[in-house]
Amino acid sequence: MGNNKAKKSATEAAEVPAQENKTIDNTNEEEADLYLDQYNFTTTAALVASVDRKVMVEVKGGHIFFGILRTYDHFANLTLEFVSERIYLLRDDMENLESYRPHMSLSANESNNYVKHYEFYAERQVGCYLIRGENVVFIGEVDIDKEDKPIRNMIRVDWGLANHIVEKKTRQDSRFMDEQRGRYLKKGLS
Amino acid sequence: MLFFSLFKTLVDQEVTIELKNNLKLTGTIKSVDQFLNIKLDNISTPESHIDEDGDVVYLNNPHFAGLKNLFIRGSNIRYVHLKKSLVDCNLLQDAARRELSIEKREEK
Repeated sequence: MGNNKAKKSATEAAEVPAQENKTIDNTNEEEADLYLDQYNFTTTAALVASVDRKVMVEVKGGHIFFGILRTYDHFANLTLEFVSERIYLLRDDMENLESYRPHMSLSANESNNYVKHYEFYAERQVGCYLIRGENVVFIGEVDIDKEDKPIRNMIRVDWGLANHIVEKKTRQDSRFMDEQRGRYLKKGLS
Repeated sequence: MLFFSLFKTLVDQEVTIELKNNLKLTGTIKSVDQFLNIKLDNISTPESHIDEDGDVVYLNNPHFAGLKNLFIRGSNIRYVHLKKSLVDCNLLQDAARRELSIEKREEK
């Protein structure tokens, strides 16, 4: 009995690699092409070329991060190393913030129709970040020879000051949106 | 899956994408995936122009400088503007209805 079993398992063992060889042979070039073709249209394929390169990431809320892309997944969860966060400011933001008035931007056409001339920027190093995919708006691969061209003509300001300005603007914006929502609700619109 | 297939046929075509943060981007589709994440090349925005060195200047979005490509997460896309010649609306309508009827049959 024992002998038989041993024999059986020996034959099985011999058969398994043979079967594996068969399946490998069966994967002909056409199937490989098909597989590659499907691979071309995945999140992985779109981002794999940017790994270990400097990328720019914008997240919801308008924060902008630069860093080296280390890992990602199909949700676009990202880990970035050597991250720096950047803020751009207009002359108006710096000099007469008090006169800032939030307004409703009804359409993309409206907000794309005027040109902003950013004259100030602030930057800080924030280390290593894991960004949750749902917050990512877009990821762009950056050409490190050209990326600092616009900020060469800008004046660097203190991060604390810039952050304070942006926070103040965001607060005003969100208060405005809340009020607007209230007004709409009164009229039976939500 | 239908719109995924549609976008796959639009690879290497120029489209304008409007995001939920009201940003409008024009570029060539390089890749698309099942979540309709779209990867664009040659990105331009309505206010961008080319400077004397041949680099694109994005005044409203200085962080776009030197961008090689842009991977846009599908969840942030509001509209994709297509040229009329790029999509056969009748065919798309038929295909959409066919897909819907297949789904309904499978539910039963």
